[in-house]
Amino acid sequence: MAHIPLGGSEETHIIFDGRFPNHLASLSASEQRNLLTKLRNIAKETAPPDGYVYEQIGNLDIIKFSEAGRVYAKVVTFIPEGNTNYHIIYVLYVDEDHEYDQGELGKFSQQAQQKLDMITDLDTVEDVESYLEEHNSLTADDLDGLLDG
Amino acid sequence: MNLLAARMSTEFAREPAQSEGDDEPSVPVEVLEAIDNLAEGNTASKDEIEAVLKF
Repeated sequence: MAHIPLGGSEETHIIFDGRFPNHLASLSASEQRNLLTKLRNIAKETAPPDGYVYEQIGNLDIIKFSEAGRVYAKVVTFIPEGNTNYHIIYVLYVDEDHEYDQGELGKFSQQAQQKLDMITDLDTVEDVESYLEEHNSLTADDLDGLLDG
Repeated sequence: MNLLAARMSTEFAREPAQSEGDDEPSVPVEVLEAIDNLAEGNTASKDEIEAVLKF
């Protein structure tokens, strides 16, 4: 019989790329709040975060946080396998206006997609808690602290 | 092509998208840089995020 995870007890953690503060700094105060609120709300839900993905480009998950604002992310659910305690949202890039000139775009090659899969594949990570700590993961409570601070 | 159609055509061209049958879509270059950055273990801390908040 196929195993269908229903979820509910898993905690969603968010890992932000090191350049995320630079992207966040370019947003207005209201857009910053919209973005962090969206991520906080997704992390608070008991349902797995992949249900809140607006669209996918290759193996990237796009989360919409305002009329034109998009977060480029990778959502990984139900880890570690066999004893699931966590979901993870890797935040890669924040796009404020969703418009580009051709020179600002690059090919999301098969190699790049495989690299993204590889670095977000935690099957070989023995201690997920340590991994989350080492990668500065934030929870919904952490985001509450940023929003209320 | 009328003005509206011309504008829509331009906007479409400026959106990252996956064309039918195209398994190598275009994305903002910052996304590709972020994948490399993340592979090296570079992540942002709560303090670094808090430092740039404007509210």
